[in-house]
Amino acid sequence: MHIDARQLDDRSIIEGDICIVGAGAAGISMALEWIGSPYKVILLEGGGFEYDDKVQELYNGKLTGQTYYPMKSSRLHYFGGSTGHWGGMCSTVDDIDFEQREWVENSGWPIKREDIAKFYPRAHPILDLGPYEYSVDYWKKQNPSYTILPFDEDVIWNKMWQFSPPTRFGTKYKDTIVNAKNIHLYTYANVVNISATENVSAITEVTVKNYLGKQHTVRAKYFILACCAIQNSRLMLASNQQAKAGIGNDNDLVGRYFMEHPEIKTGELWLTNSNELSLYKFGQKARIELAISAQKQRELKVLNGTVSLNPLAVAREIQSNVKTWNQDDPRKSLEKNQENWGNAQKKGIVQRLLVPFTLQSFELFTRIEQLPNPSSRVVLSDEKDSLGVPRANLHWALSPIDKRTVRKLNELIGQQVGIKGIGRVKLYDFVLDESDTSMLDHTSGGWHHMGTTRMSDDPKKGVVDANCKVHSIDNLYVAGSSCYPTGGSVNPTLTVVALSLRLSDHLKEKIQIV
Amino acid sequence: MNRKTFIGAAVAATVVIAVPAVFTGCRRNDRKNPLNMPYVLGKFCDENEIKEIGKRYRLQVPMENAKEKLSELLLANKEGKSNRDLSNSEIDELLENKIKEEFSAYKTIVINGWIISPTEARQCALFSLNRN
Repeated sequence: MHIDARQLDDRSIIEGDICIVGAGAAGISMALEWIGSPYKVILLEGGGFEYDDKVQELYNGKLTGQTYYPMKSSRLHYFGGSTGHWGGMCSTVDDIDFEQREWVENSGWPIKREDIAKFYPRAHPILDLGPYEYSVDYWKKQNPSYTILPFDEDVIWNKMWQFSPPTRFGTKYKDTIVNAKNIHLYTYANVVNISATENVSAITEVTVKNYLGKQHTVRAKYFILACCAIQNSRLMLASNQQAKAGIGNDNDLVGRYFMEHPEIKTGELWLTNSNELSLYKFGQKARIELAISAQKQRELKVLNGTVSLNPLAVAREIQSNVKTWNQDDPRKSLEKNQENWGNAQKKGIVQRLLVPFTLQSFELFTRIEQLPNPSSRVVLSDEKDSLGVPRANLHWALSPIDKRTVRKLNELIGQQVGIKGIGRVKLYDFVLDESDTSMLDHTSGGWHHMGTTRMSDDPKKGVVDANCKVHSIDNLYVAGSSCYPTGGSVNPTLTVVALSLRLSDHLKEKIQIV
Repeated sequence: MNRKTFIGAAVAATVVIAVPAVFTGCRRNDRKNPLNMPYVLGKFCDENEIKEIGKRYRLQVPMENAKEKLSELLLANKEGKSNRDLSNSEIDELLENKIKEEFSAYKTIVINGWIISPTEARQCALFSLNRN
């Protein structure tokens, strides 16, 4: 069922069993799980079904620290959320990502990989992915002519990825959600405040507003914040009438540890044969990236990371994403970004003619996990948006281990290529100086916002517990990548959906017991 | 060849001829003296880049800044003995094994961005001296 909150009488009261705030990948994945259940689920979306610049403007804010995408355009604010412009890259997290690693400050999840991995097969069809298969052998069997780089897997291993079409949740799931009798989708219902009991041990209601000046109240037994890492933390920090530092922020952790996947061109791989390495190329159902082994991460005391191979002739022409995705309007940023890639393809065709066809050359594009850094954070601005909520400002900060990881990962690839005698690697200048710990200004991110409501069993180290419940608040949960204590090296969406399904199962158990 | 294909081929050929080479691959690989030219690296680097790598290596390792010394080190076997009577194919084999062993032992160096073995760096150094 769909209700446009602009059409309701002002100061309406909405009541249900479960209230999900945010209709993006996490929120919609959860809502789908409750269709046909005896419970009334309220799904609140700040925007409508289409892009609306007035709503999108609510995401605007200021940036400091490492250069980043404009706050207004790095997320989409309408039904379907940022799946409206995501690229569809999916892979699974690794065992080591969950470990408390003594060389990675603030690392360690209170759950293990298998706690999430068992939900991947359920997440796959939601994202229109292929079979739940991430072994190279499986994909090689699909096409035996694929060449696999013969590296020592204890050093550099071939990590499989799959590609969603990409699924646009707003398009694919609109009818299913709207036609579900027990799912009550409210559009133009921006949550502006969370209210709790007197001792702030449980949430009683949330206040929603829209730009027509209407305000409503939503009451439920359980509340789930699912509006992305920046907005989840912003909402908790801004709900500071009863808890001075914000809801769930007793230990000054909400908004801290903002993480991205730093991405940058790091060098060139030159191979002595003419094999195109088709399974390493972008634009198919699956592809391989070169990943640093857990063993080498331990030995060298570095983070997780992967390197993708892009045909050099084209890749040289591609500008950094952070340089082209620089418009406040996400539609303009997307257009500029796609234009950059399109032009590179055209120029690359000519450039390829200049390289002997007996050789193959690729650009190394590195993506790493970043160190969870408390000074990398979302804070409230003094400026308020048109609904009266303080804007979110973002300070993205990186750490010396991030740069060291980039260097070591690429050096290992160079060594493996040399050992196998199949070519050589050339590193770009900024990687070379071991004493230089800074990342280049044009280091991009993957538009992956993580970590601002991190998960830990210890309330002094995390905002939510292993079940994504906010510590000290009985009925407030957070869904999505804001719960990640560390980011791993893969794009977060598949794991976001898996984690949301896990949270959904947990709530189903809990609501039945209650 | 039909007219359309012919025009396409002609345009491609014109582009190849008209546009200056921008990639760093080497078209010339000096195989007359295998000591002089790293076989794999030489496929990707032009002579100027090989020379530049060689010069930088000689600056980094001044003790090896002499043709005799470099030849001696390049021709040395595992026991450190230098054999000057090897044929070109035997030199090729010796160097290939050395390079592989150095990479396997993670004895690599980075010069001009290239991750190479010390043996390859010495070959570049010798090349740079011979071409001066």
